[in-house]
Amino acid sequence: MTLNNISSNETAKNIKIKKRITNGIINEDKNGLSNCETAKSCPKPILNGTVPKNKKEGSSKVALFTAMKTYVKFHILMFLDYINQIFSRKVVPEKQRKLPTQNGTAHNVKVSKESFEQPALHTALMTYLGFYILMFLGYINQFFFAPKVAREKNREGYVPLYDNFEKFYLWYVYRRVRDCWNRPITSVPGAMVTVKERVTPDYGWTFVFTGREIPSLNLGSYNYLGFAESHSKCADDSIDTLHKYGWATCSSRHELGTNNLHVELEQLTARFLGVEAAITFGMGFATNSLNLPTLVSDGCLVMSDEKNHASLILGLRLSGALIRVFKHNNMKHLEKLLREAIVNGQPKTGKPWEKILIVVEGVYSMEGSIVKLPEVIALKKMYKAYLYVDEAHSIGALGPHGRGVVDYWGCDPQDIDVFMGTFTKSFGSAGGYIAGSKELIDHIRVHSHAACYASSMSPPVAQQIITSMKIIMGEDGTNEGINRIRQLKHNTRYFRKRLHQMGVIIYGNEDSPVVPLLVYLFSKIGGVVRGLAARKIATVGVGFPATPLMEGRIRFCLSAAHTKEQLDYALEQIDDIANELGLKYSQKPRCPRPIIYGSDDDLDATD
Amino acid sequence: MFKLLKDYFTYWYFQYELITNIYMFEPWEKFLLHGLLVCIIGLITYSSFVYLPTYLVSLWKSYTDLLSDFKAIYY
Ligand SMILES: Cc1ncc(COP(=O)(O)O)c(C=O)c1O
Repeated sequence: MTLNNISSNETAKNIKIKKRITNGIINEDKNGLSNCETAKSCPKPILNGTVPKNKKEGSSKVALFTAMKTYVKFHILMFLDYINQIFSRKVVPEKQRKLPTQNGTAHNVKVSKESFEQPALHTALMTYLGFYILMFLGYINQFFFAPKVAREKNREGYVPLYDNFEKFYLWYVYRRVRDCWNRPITSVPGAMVTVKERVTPDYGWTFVFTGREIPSLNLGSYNYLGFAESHSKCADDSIDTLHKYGWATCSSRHELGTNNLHVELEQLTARFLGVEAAITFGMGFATNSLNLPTLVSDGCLVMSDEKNHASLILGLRLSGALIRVFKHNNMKHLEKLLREAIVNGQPKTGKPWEKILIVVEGVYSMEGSIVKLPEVIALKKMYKAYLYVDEAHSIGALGPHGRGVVDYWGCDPQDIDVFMGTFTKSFGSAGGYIAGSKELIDHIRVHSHAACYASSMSPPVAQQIITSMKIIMGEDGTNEGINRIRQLKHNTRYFRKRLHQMGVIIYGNEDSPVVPLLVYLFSKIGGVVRGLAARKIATVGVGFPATPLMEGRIRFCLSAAHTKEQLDYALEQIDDIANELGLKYSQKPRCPRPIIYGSDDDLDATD
Repeated sequence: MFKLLKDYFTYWYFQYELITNIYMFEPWEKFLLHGLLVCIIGLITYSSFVYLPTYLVSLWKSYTDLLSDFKAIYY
């Protein structure tokens, strides 16, 4: 019933390998049903209800002491981190790595053009200096001028609502630039978006609307193929569906919540991905966090990329499997960890692992990098592991046919055991899917909490996905899908090249539509977002909890809906701001020639 | 010319604000930080004007004394 039975052939080999390596006794029947039962019935609570400690919250002495303690602890950590950064400074040469060929057939080797340029030493130093000042004044401010909302009253004997450092960070770092996030919008987030203007009278504690609405160029939505439209075939179809089926099914998939749209959507998704079957859920985050526990459990090993999304991490923690984290997109490190784990077996008992699952994402949303899929597949085959690919950002956005990383690298879909993805990004809708072999999907359908308890996808939402997916596949009888994919690709290459020529540091793969522009300092995140907002460009800044502390960045998300003129305007303004704020950190040589939109060398032979 | 100079100074003042994160602060915090900086720089300049000359003179003296001692020994 578990993933193990999916390809018994492989499992047998897997076990043999383990036998060879560990020379241990294996208990083949120990996995299977009993495991998933435990995984299902008693998932580990995340907030393992910390028992309220008898700490006197009221006395200011204790408060000061704890504040000092966190402060000191934090600074020691920061310092170590800093030392570490200085010594691990490296320029990663992008060489073509030879892939092991399988069964004699050479892979269609594509070079991954990815760059993670490190800033100059003085930039790093400045970033740390600025951060110390920020922390220092934050503590002073918190100690002397904490506003009313910052004190918890009448909570004797309760656990504090916020973690100490989290609270401090939220109120004295994030609050100062809070106007750059969560800006309310009043239109469809297509190529243009209408942002409601708001001002803050008290430095970010509260906001008031001015009543003005600003149409802005939208560089902040995951609208990769531009299907977020209020007037289009998708919208019309969804409205028709709304009239026919209503808003919701008000029931779960197992009970009364399945209608023909859901069945159609699942079949279409499976066909789109080139696999046997698929199952869909109403929420992408839950697709990860509730389905991973049905696949792995205690006694399994999970290799997880360091930059994996929170939903994956939550799911893996819920599952109770042992998680080993490998460095971002670093296949050597993955292999090293895999070897070590296989040789040592399970901790304490030394038994062989029941399953090994490698969890990666297609496009990493904060780094803009693309997983090196052929290498992961080679490793997976070599070590007889299973592979789980989260295609949230890559489905629709990558590959000549918009079918995600598999299409991009030209791999065989059969090599990937579990496809996961969301409809929230490229399809302009909501929800998530899992696709793979029929056994896998049946297993998930029966055991997943999301299929069993969550209410099913709303019919208009499902219709939006069906229509947009058919357009991408070209089943609507037009070239629109292919045109959108091509437009996105041209936009991506053009935008990235222009930014690079400008001399700013951008992370990631040249084909990834997520473009993180590194600004490092908190104040610069605020400065850039505000500056661009004033120039009518809506963007998203990303800071500490989502990125390493010192790598604040601005994330541009490109879309097929953007025209060249819009991108030119945006680039002009970004150049302006980069000069003004001093963002041109890059020390790489710049391209001296002007960059031509959609020039021939931009196109691959596959196009 | 004047405008150029002004631009130059506003640019570097802005850089200073950004790098020290002063850009994000409330006015009283800005005041405090600027005050601290002015204090430190003021103290340094003050001490360098008041103490440095005498200190340098004494340093020079001890150095020449040392030299003459050497001379007394070797010659
Ligand atoms: C990699 C990844 N997985 C899952 C999700 C969750 O998807 P949704 O927003 O549809 O809940 C996201 C969303 O940001 C994501 O980036």
